[in-house]
Amino acid sequence: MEWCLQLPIILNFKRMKYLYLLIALSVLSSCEDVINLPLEEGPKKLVIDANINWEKGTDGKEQSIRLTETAGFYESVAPIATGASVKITGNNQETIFTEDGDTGIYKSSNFNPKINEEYTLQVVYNSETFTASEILNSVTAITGVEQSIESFFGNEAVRVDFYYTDPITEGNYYLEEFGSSVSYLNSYRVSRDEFINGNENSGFEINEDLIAGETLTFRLYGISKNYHNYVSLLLAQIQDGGPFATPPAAVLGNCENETHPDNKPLGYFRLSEFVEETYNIQ
Amino acid sequence: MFVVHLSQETFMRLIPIVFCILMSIQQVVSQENYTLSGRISEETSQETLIGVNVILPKLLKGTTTNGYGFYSITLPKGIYELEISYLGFETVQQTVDLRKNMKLDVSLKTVSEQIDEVLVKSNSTIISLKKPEMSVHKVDVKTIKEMPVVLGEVDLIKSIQLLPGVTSAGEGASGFNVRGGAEDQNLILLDEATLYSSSHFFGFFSIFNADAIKNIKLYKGGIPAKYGGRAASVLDIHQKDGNKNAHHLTGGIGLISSRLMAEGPLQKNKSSYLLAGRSSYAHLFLKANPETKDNDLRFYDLNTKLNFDIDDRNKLYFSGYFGRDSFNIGGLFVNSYGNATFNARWNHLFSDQLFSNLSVIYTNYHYFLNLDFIGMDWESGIRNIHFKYDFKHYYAENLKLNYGVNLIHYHFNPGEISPSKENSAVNKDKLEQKYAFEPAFYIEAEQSINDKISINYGIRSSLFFRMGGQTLFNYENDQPVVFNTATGNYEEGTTTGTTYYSKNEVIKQFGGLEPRFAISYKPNSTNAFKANYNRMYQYIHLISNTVSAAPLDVWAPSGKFIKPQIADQIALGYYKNINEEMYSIETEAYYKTVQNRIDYRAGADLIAEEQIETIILPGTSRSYGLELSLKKNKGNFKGWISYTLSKTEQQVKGSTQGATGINNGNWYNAPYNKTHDLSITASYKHSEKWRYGTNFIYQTGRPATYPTGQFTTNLGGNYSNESENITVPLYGNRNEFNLPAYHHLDLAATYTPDPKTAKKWKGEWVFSIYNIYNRKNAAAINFRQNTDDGSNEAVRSSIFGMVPSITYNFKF
Repeated sequence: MEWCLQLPIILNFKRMKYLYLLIALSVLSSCEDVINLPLEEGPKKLVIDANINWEKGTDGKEQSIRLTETAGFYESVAPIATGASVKITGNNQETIFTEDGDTGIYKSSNFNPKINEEYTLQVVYNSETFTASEILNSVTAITGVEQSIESFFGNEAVRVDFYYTDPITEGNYYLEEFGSSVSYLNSYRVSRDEFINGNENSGFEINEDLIAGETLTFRLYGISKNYHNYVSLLLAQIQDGGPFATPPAAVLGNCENETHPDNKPLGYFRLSEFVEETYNIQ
Repeated sequence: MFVVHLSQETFMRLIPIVFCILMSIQQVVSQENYTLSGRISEETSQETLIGVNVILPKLLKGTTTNGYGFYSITLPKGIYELEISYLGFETVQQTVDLRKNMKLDVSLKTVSEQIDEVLVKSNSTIISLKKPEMSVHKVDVKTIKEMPVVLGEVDLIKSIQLLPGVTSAGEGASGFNVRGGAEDQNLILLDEATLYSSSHFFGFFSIFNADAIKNIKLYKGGIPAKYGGRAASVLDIHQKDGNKNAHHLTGGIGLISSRLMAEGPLQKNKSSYLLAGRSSYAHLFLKANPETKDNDLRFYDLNTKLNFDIDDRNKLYFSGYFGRDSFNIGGLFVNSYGNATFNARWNHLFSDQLFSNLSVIYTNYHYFLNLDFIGMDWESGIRNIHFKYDFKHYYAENLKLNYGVNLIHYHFNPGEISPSKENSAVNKDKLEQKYAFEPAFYIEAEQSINDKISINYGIRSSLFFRMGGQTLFNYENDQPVVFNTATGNYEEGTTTGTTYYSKNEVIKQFGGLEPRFAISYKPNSTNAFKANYNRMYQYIHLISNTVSAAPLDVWAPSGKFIKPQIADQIALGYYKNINEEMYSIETEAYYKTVQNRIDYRAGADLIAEEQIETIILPGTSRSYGLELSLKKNKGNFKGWISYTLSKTEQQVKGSTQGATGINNGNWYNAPYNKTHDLSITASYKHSEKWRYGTNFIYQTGRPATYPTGQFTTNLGGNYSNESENITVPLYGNRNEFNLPAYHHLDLAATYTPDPKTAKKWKGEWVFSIYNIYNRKNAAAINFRQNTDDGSNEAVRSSIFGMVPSITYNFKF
């Protein structure tokens, strides 16, 4: 005999720092199992992973962009897109990105970042031209870190808060990234200042596996509203589902195919200032 | 002022119809006629009975009792043989010498188990086949109680899902879908009060305590003009009035919850009370364990009813329902929600031929959430006050008129946020409160043309006033949703400011006429053909972007940006009774369209969304299907097989600005489209001590969206670090695929240790096994990246495997 009862409560608080909260109460056994489900594969598309990161206080000259192609859902390797020409124009300058061998990673060491400047990306790949435009967004500084204990169902978990103060001007959007020595994948959240405008806010992680000696790295990126919407949609596709999950949707970014508009590429052209803090669990 | 103005306009349109009806009445009134009227009740409890057949077998005529057990029939002076019959009760035959208006109250005796097989002689088909009423199901509460169910929790909603044309979104999903309708298109009435949610524990159990329920009736089509406000169906539930003769306790002890009902007379044969409670007790187990003592998890219901027979012409009823679900996860997460309703009703007989009921109803659906770790309280809900005045005019033997007025006032609270502790970063915020009025009036005739043909025809005129007292956003080009041609996504439109509407101002008004028509043709005593048409307006919408409606979903009124849903349905049916009603066959086909059916745009996030209009897209829906059912109504072995073949689709078209619509503007499967739906329900009485029941359900899997590929991204831009790579499933068209088929087989056995006991205490045990072959039905299939090795996988979540349970029921 095997049965289970699951009460998934997924709360999706727009504009709140905690985008998704999943509380699953599993009795006796797990309700989830991996199944073998055959899937059809659609046509291959170009994926433009163009993230320009400018760490606060640095010159931000070293930048890279990755080009890959879509793959079948169960395939383990993303096919790289090699041999493309990549350039960014903006701040009265044209920056050429050159491929690092045959890796699909295109690099430049003379990018010239400027807050609130609009940049345009151009990629030519397999005789198709792809473009995207975006603004470089600024970010506020991390003001402090605090460690505390939260208890869930009698188990204690470490909680770490990274504090920052939202600027009084409205319309700030953030990407929060957490990397830790205890989990394979980084976790991401987006937030906006609509409910917390001008207040001290925190990006926090609660994890049972965080024990003394482990490290937690927090990165905070300033992003645009468009990118906030893009990442919200993207994260919704990779969150744990359950009956109350948002139904899946295609995640489309800001890149366009100038040659064949119907063959729209995936990925996003983002430019952000960011701040980073690494914390050792006590 | 506006009310009067518009009512008049609509009223003018109605005058010709009323005139026609009056003309036909003229022809009827010709001889010296007298009225026979009264109430039919159950003998021991004096509980009134709904839908009892009052028949004149020789004339092949008759009527049925209404929702309050009242009947009235007007006939020429004469001597008549009268037969009063009701399934499960002994038929009463009586001769009536009708020389003046007469009152005849009759009490029916429950059929004692022994003579169940003998009592097959009944003329009830005279009415059931002749009535134009179709697409309607009545389910006996006794039948529901003997069906096998998950964890032994008797469940009204699960039982109606066994009917043809009714499906569910799956295990652990709330609500039900009728003929391709959405959950919010069902009007659920408990003693005439509208309920806004019908489930506990996110859909695992329904909120109805079966002990307190007298009768349920589901209208899938041919909806009488009396009802309005929802596009797909009406589920009309009547609570028991309470025993007028003696005090009784009824109850049950199950694995999840226990229930207890007390009923009895306040003043013998004059007034009665009913008080029923049900509570789960998972919280007691949680408290007992030191590890989980900080957690709480419970639901409870309270049903109450008082009823007073003031005199022969006046009766008063007060009833109430209060139900809550409540969760507390270690103080971090506190959540409670539920319905509260209260209503007062006054039955008054203006004459033996004119029955009236006046109701005043208050309904409140409330949702509360506290998230301690981010220091936030959240409250939302919907409140309404509903006034109804309904008349049933038994004008002549072959003509009944139903007419009445309705007025609903709505107050929507889409959400209120406040900081729950001192150092919370949350700012106090209240989403705009919304107000609306929904007045309606209706008139309908039930007319018997001759022995073979009967018709019902009526019209409902409904209006909707979205009132001010709130601020609305204005959008560039009046477009709350714009298509971003750069990303190919629909996005929030650009706001150009706000407009405040004062309390007495009408922001937007809607209205329309809703014709209802039904006809039956009975060529002989065992066959009938029926057809009906109805139009329904639905002014409020449940905005949900989750697969299964969640308690947090928001009800939104029609207004500046959302139009009312308009449903048109046509249905045809054929009915046959075989071997004195031993078997019955019902076949129906339907076609339905709904205008202004909204769907969410991709990635829509509705929680705390002030501008609901920015996340939805207007579209249309259509559904059609064929329903078959075969019933065995009598004997030790009873049951039914129902099968439905259907299709439900939605369409959101693109626009001239290059917008693509959903799935490029093509028709796509609605989330509740189920091609095949088969249910088999059977019960067998082995002996006085043992009764057995079984269900088998097979449904096509729910439509789902599957990925057609994946792409890899690194949001942080650190491409060399594998652990920062996220693989994102690339989803294809919405609802293009189907989950694996949903099916399960359940068994139940009821054991009555001492069926002939003379003692007051009567008990029985119900043993049941749900999903006996332990099928893992997929509630959802999710596509994700394995957190250990980063590979992609398809993950099935299933809710119930095999679930055995035991319940003890008693009556004292």
